[in-house]
Amino acid sequence: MGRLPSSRVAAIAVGVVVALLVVLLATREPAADRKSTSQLIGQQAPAIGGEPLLGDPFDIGATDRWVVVNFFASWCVPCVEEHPELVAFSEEHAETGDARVVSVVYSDKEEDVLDFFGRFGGDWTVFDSDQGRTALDWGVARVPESYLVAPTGVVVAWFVSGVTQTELNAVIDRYTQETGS
Amino acid sequence: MNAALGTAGVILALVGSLGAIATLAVGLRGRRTELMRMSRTYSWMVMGGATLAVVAMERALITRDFSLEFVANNGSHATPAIYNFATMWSALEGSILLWGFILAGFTLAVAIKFRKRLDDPLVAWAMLVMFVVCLFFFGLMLGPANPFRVIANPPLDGPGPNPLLQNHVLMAFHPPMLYLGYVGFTVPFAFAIAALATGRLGEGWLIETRRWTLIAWAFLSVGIVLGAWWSHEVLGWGGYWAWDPVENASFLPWLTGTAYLHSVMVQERRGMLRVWNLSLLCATFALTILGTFLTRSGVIDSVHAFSDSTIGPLLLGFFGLIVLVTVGLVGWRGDRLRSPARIDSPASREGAFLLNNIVFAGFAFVVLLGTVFPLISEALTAERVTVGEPYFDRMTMPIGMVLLFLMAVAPVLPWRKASLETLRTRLLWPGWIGTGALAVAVLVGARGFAPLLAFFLAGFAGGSALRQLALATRRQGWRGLVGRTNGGMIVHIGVLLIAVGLAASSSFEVERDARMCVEAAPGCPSTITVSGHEITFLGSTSDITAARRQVGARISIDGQVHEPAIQQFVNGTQQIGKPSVKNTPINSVMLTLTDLPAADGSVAVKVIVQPLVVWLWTGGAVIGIGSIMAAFPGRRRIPTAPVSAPAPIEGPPDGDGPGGGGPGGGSPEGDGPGPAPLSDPDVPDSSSAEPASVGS
Amino acid sequence: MTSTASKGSRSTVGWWPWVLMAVVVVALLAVGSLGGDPPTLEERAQNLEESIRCPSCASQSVANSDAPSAEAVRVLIAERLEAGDSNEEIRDYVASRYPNGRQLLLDPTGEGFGALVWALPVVAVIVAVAALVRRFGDWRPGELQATEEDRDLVAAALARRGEAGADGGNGPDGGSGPYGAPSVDAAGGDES
Repeated sequence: MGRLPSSRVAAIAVGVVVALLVVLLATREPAADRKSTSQLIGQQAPAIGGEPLLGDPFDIGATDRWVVVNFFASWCVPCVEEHPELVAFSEEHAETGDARVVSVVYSDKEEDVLDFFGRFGGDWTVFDSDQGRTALDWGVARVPESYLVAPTGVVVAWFVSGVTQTELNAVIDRYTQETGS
Repeated sequence: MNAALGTAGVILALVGSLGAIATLAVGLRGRRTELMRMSRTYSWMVMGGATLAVVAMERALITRDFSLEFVANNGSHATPAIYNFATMWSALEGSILLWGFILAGFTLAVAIKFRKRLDDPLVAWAMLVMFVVCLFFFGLMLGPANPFRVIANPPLDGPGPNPLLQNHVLMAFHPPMLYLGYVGFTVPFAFAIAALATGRLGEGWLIETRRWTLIAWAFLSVGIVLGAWWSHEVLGWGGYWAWDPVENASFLPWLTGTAYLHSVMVQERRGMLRVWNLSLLCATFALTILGTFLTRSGVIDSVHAFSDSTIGPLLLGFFGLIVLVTVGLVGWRGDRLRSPARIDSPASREGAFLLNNIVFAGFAFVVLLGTVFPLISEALTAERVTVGEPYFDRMTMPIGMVLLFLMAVAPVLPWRKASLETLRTRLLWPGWIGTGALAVAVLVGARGFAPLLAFFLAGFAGGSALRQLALATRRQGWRGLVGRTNGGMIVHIGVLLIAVGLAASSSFEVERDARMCVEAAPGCPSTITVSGHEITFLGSTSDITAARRQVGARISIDGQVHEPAIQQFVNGTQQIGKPSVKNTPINSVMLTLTDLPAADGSVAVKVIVQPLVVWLWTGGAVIGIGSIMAAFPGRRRIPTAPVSAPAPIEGPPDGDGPGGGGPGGGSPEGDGPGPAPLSDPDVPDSSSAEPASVGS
Repeated sequence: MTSTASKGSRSTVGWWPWVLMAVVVVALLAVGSLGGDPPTLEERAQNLEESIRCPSCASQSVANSDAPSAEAVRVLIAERLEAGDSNEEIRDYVASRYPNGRQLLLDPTGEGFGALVWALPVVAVIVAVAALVRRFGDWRPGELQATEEDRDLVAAALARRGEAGADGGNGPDGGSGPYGAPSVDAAGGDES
């Protein structure tokens, strides 16, 4: 190792390799900025398997309305923050009946969930976590995550760490325009 | 006030570095010794500035001066004193400040140590390099990593450091230790560059810096072990090393540094491997900078990563510069570095060191490749893959086995060439010790090929190390424990303890989840037995202070009460488990609460029993002690005495180890002055390899 | 250790103790590693959990994380193993569920580009060993004889030693030149 045919050749080789490494590292964007998309977009929405803790039983496959599937936990601060938006969205569409919200509990206790809805409002169906199976089927890694499911049963949008009424309506409007016109 | 003081300190250090660089450059150009000697004054100036900055930062933290952005983001009234003090290195800017402070300290130490020779161009060049590194780090502190940025509307209180960083006292020691190691490698690097620049490529510079290298290495080793210990005690999943990119970043310079500490002996003894040694030193230093980049640029996902900052490109540029300069200098001077000496036989001390170096280089390559491979894959195929623990475990295990084997065989090998008879004789008892270790392991029920092989090889290697120490102490008394070879064997024992601890704790872990009640009920026992340990739930506790809310459980392990808990810090949303560990030399029992105590008073507990975990931490301590022994100064020696050159003129008392050294330092068997008083079968053939003995 | 000393004999050890040791070691290793049952479902689950990253973590595996997402994957693994799925099927299923799911697999599969991470170190080792063998290919066991060149080196070194003794130090070269080391060893290493 110490005595290569020519230390110069070795030096150049090492230099080139390291230069490539530096270029590689310099051109990477920060890990936090990397975008990812849900593989569910464009796919049929998976079933929601748990028992309803609140509200009526509900089958996501048999609906002709937009459905917002919201994964949440009472201990999660952004979930508390986004909740009024969901309430507003739900109330706005309750009259027309073209969209509704369902929530799926993510790693939480039943009494805390009931307390959460008692405190922050919301009168839609809430499913228990089914031991995390539902979240896994949907590919939820951390809450809050929300999925917008079109009346056709296809997932069209994915929102991480909070969703707003405006965002949801924007997607619905865009989608109806595209398919309607 | 604090901001002004701190900024003044940083500027003072920066100006000092700039002044020193200019002065030294002019001095070196014109061979003006009076200018070169001024580097001592400048290093005091840099140290003064760095100290002022650190004092200002600590003062700001202690007085909770939230007008500083750093304190506002990382301090809080509720943080206890010791963690408040350690807050300085819990976030990016402060950690760079600590780095600069330690660097200034090393620069000053070099200036004092070499005060009589500051006008020697070699030393002047080394000082120049040190000051360039100082310039870079203090420059960072004025630029993107400014710890003294002021905010207009200071908050009344801050969030405090990350809760995980303030529930174990080890966090106060692990980062400074690690930094002492990282930064310490600047010294040998500076001398290596100086040797290349001056063309004085003999072994002189190497001798000057070997103790510095050893000390830096020891700090790095202890820092890494402390980090593992912290992670075991705090994270509560029974692990201590996860091959996380940031852990790898600290491990890489350790690997190349370890390789260097071995191969340098070949150069001292035989004048070989010069390019290689220079490259290893420069690689070690470059890897510390690369590690800093990986930790602080946010390029790689990691649990340890500091918050995003704009410091990344600068560190990467500095890394590139270091490599460019090194590669350029080696390419330029390479021809002078050729050594006509060669290795006579693979079965010799130098052959073993060479093999050791290849294995360590391979080890470093695997770790580096695994760390950056996700980025390579993403760049070339647009698909990002993850390279995690299973990869590293599988790839490094055979490497570890080879290293254990080398540790068994190499210490008994003489220089130049060994005969089979020598090996057979010297290795017999170490071999039986290894066999004994294996037999004990099988008898106590350990199963599995890999861990058993590891126990055998570790016993074997331990036997070799003990053999060396026994021979040396019998001949020299307590001095048989100091010096590089003997101290090195103590370090080997420390490494072996760690190897055994790793093999045992990862292979024979027992984990059990249980819900426990004070009053036993169906499905909810009050006492469970895990691996022979009786675990009884005694009751819940709660403890609320200004800083945090803590809910815990009193649980006895074999009658000794422990209190694992879950903490919620007022400023954080996270709940943090605070495990409790009962350590014995045989095994460690870790209790973690996996959930808050339920309404009915029951708790969910995870119990992890791992054998020999304590050996890991003990091994770390032994490595530290061994390094001190190895660095222990023996006799004074003329600093410039040629070492790869012929035997010292002083004559027979050549070599009570490397500390006092002379060329004989590296040889275990060569430590005996004159004829050996004992009828030890090893002495004759080994001492005959010693020029000094021939001369006497 | 003490017995080494108490033997007090210079005679070297023959092969028989080593043969005995080899037999004992092989026997012990065989006892210790053979005869194991095929991995139980629990062991398979543990291995799988260690090879999948917890979806909400930076680098912890499912086995080492208490995050809810890790718990969910653990439940899934247990169910699927119970149902008789193979390890790869389970890994593929988990990877297919999450955004960027392939990144959850902690060891890249040995196909396509990911195979390089396994292959490169092996290639590097082969190249290093090959280079060494080429470099030191003329190693011949048992042969160690001074050549004419060596003797010249010895002479040069002895001369230098005299000089070094005279001026008590060394020139700006920092060492006594490249010829110092081998010459001494050539002089001292004369074992016969």
